[in-house]
Amino acid sequence: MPQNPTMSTDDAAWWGRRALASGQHGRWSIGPLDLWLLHGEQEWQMVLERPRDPADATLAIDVPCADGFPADANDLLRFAGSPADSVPELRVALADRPMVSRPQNPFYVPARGQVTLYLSSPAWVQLHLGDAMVQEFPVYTPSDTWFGPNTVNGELCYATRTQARLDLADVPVRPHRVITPLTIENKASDALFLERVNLPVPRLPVFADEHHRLWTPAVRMEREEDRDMADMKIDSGPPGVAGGAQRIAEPRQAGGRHLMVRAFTALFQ
Amino acid sequence: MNEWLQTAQTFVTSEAFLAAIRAAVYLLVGLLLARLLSRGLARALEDKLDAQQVMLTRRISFYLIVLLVLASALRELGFDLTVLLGAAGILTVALGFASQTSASNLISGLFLIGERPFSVGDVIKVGDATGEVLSIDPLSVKLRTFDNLMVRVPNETLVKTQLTNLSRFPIRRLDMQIGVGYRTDLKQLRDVLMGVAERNPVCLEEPKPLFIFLEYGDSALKIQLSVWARREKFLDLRNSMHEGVKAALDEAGIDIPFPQRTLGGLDGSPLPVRIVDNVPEAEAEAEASGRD
Repeated sequence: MPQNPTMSTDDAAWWGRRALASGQHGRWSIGPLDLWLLHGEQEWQMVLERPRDPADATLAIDVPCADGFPADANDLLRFAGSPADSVPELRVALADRPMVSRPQNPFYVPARGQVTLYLSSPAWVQLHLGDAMVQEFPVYTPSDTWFGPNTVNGELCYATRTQARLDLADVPVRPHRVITPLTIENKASDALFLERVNLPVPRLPVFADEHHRLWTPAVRMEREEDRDMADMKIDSGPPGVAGGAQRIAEPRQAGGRHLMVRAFTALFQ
Repeated sequence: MNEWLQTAQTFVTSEAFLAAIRAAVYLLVGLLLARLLSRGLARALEDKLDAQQVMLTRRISFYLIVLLVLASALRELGFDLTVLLGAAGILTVALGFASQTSASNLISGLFLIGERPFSVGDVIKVGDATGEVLSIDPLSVKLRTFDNLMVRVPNETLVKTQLTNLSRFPIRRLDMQIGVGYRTDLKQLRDVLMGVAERNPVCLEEPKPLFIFLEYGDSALKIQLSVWARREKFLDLRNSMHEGVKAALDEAGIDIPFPQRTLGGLDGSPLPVRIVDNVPEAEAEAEASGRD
């Protein structure tokens, strides 16, 4: 865990503990988000700003920060009680609802073929002061969406537009996105039209590799003939491409690593 | 003393006393049984039915058993039940006429609980009242309106009239009627409106927003933009979308016209207007007399 309290750095991880002396404040710039935290005499103060585009890849941790604390912000939150030795900690989490990715250009997975694509989901930040989590917020708020065969049956999800890249080298490095290598195997005799994919991210843990890139385990979805649900398997460890990865967050929802999900819009009947 | 004892013994061994004891035992055991059975039944059905239905099953089973037990106890005491039932029949008819409304509400309540068009906590709209259901009682349903008033709706009304349940499904659609000037490029308008919907995080990405051309109105082209949201966020969506649409239309230079009327001749030419400063006296007089 990074423990350097005085450094402004671009290559460190944004999560973890960072000491902040009383009277000082820090700024964590994570993609589109600026998180300000002030350690007061009797309280902590927090301000969230989102001045940048959701696709922005900024990463800067200024703890302590030389710029002035935005004390006049409308959404300033205060947390009473601040023991001198309490150290704020940021933790990474994934969304609390499944994430539906819509490839910018839909494509077909050929019959009896398979494809691996890289999906990225926005991270959620959990702020811990002392032992307890006091706030949780997304790096940016993704749009809500509905995933189901009609407006009565289905589930609420978050939407993200993705390039659905097939080559990892093309995936942009962004500090606030968690990458999932998703392998789709089409066991049916007709091609599978991939317009939207539903990834149940609350069931996935998060790993961080040695370059502080965030990953979920590789996920495999199998489409069987004559079945509208996909057979989903979640790997137990980090994906092979994530060198030296450490597990940094547990899944929100416990459950097996093998489940049946409604994953593809093409299979709605 | 001996005489007293003898009298007591005669009384205790008498048929009437024994019958009374038997009736009391019937009642006690029956009540216990009724309570145990109804409670057991409620517990068994807890997972399958909702709270209202469980409560109803419990009460009905309890009172049914109590009624049977009461009938057995009365028979044990020597009452002729056929006479009693006959009297009860007449009484029921009399009561039925007297409490027609209550009975109708009661029966409607049973239908409502069976049909389950809503449950406690749902937001429903009946007639002019919209509010959250506080309780479903035998005679009426209590609503809490959003301005914090309690509205009592008789069950009979709920069965007879149209009722809208606003919280049955997880998502809702907002239909926005927008009028734009006749000079507006509809393709540009469509792009602007879709852009607003896409940027709004409350607006669902799927089902997709709908752009519907309604009509060539008197003063404006009438458009409907239909967007979806989670039902808890419906009010948020309504405010943020209208705000966003107005701002986006202003930015794109698309006007939302006031009612207006264009005057002209039949051939489309403008009406000739003459502004006259010095009206000749004769003409002014003629106009004045015409006005009289």
